[in-house]
Amino acid sequence: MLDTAAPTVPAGTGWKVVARKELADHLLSARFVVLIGVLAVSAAAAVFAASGGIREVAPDATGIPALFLKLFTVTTDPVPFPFVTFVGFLAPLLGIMFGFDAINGERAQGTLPRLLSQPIHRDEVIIGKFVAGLAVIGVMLGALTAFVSGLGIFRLGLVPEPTEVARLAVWVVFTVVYVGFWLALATSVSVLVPRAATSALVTVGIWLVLSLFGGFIFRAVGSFIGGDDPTAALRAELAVSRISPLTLYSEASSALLDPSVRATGLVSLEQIDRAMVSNLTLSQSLLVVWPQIVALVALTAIVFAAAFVSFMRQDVRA
Amino acid sequence: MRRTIGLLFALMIFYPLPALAQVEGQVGLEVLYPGVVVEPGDQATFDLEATSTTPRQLELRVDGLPEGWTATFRGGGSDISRVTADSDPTSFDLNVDVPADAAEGSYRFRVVASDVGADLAASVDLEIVVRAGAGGEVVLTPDFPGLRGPADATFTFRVEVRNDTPQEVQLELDASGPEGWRVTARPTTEEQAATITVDAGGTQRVNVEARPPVNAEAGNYEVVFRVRGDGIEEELPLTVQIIGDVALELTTPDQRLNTTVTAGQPSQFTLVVFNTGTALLQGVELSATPPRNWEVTFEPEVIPEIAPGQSANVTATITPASDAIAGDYRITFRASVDQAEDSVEVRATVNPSAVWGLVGVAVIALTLGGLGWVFRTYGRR
Repeated sequence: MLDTAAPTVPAGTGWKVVARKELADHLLSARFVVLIGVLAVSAAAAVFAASGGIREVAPDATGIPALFLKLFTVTTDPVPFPFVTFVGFLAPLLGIMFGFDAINGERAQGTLPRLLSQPIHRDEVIIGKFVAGLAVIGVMLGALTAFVSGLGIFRLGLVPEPTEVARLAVWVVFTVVYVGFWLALATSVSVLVPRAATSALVTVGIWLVLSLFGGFIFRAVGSFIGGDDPTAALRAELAVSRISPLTLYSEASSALLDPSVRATGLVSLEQIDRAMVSNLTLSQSLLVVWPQIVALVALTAIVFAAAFVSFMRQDVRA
Repeated sequence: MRRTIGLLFALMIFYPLPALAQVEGQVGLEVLYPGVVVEPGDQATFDLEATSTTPRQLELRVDGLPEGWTATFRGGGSDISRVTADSDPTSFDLNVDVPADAAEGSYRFRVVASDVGADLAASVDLEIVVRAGAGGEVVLTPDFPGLRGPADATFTFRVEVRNDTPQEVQLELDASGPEGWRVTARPTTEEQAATITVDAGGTQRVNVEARPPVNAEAGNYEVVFRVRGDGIEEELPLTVQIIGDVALELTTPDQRLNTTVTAGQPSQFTLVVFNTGTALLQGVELSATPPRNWEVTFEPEVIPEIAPGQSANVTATITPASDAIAGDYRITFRASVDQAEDSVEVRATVNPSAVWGLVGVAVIALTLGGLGWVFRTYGRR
């Protein structure tokens, strides 16, 4: 893929060159255009539905806190999911699309040995590709969120407050991490599996199983562990389901985008006795879902580390 | 004291003799009220009973009736001249017509029942006292002689018609009021009846209904209830007090109850107050219940006066909250005087202010521009 290499590359900056070239490849590629089109259409539909719902209850909605964020978290007929759910479901595709052929694609085209004959270290190749993927994902999600916010302002005459903007920004960064997990997963599969088509099928398979059947699997495991006690089964199910990045992401998103969410998972009536309905600050919300954030970052790091290590040990002269 | 006891003894001894008027112990003639007081021109009626130890036919006659008076025996629904007496008393009536020119005073005569063949007879002495004004009259008594209410009410007087005369009377009902009023009188028991029959000494109840014209002004009005018949004519004046009706209606000139406003910007909305009552409206105050943080002012805030049937325009200035989200809101407008009020609910549709519409478009444009910049800067050349 790299037709020309920089004549001299300072030591330790080779990954930047790789990232720059990869980014140029990704932008305006067919997969980029298709993905951003799909995401923009579904996001616009979700936000239109949400803003319509808010318009209908305008007198009651005026003055409620963090109304702007409701654009992203509520929905009305006929759109079945709010914006956040759309992103949680579709954004993994971004990571998979930009990662599934990262290494084995180069290998198939026979460009990997040529690439490594340049004064670029082997680790810089995989790091550069990962960073380029993250960058294009960040651009895409950032643009999508801004576009949708603009739609909301246009439809409702509703102006986001600084704290709401901050929450949205944190949420976008967190979403990039979440998509980064799928990018890392796709990359590591592309290292391990020699054919691009196979690696795409494997990662899409994992994504589909987790998002469509994850709930059933976790419930089965939860009731197996919890036995006859329904509360214990529910707790076990919740604990097990937190292995899945989808669960981590949706829990963290709910707290980040809704200041009234003060807990995730099971809350007993005793815990909320005499609790006052109030809004958390952003830092408090971050504290509530800090475990989820840390877990997701760690998951991403582990999966990427796996890709990194296996790539470093591979024989490139295949 | 001794004289009283003596008198009582005398009564005990002689009492049966005149009352039973028994002659020779075989045939009897009795009357419950041997003396009757009537007006000149009226008829006196005596209830008589004839008895006999064995069944006999008795011939009836009246002795000593004053000249010009006529006496008729009535029994079984017809005029009679003879009666069959038995040990059970046989009842019959004697009607005596007193001429209209009869002088006042006491007139005595005798009724004789005789079995000519057996030479048996019984008689009873009767007395008619002729006295002017003795006949009694028809009296009209309202439950409430005066009623008060608004012009659109129906006033119903309940009147008792009492017949104090000794005869049953038939009375024609009639009622009248001021011009434009509809006044009817009918018995409570029958909607359609125009005449009533009142037994001697009995009563009937009549409803007199008065309906004023809708535009009747405040004031006192007289309604007259009359009964007529059998030489009787009685009038009963009744009073209706109409109080001025205070009523108003709040609406919009074209009946449209919605408007479009822009967040944070004043817009005007015209309302109309109609005086639908019959009294002058003074000091009509206008108020509104808008959503929170909205402002509504009126020009004028108080309408000094509106004549009956007239209307006045009011301009409301609606300023939605500057952070109002787009959507539909309810505003309740209210016009009130001391005794009446009316309210109208208006749906205000807030459009996002043009500024924020532009901001939204700008955000979208900036996003697309930013994407373009990323493509140009980092994309493949």
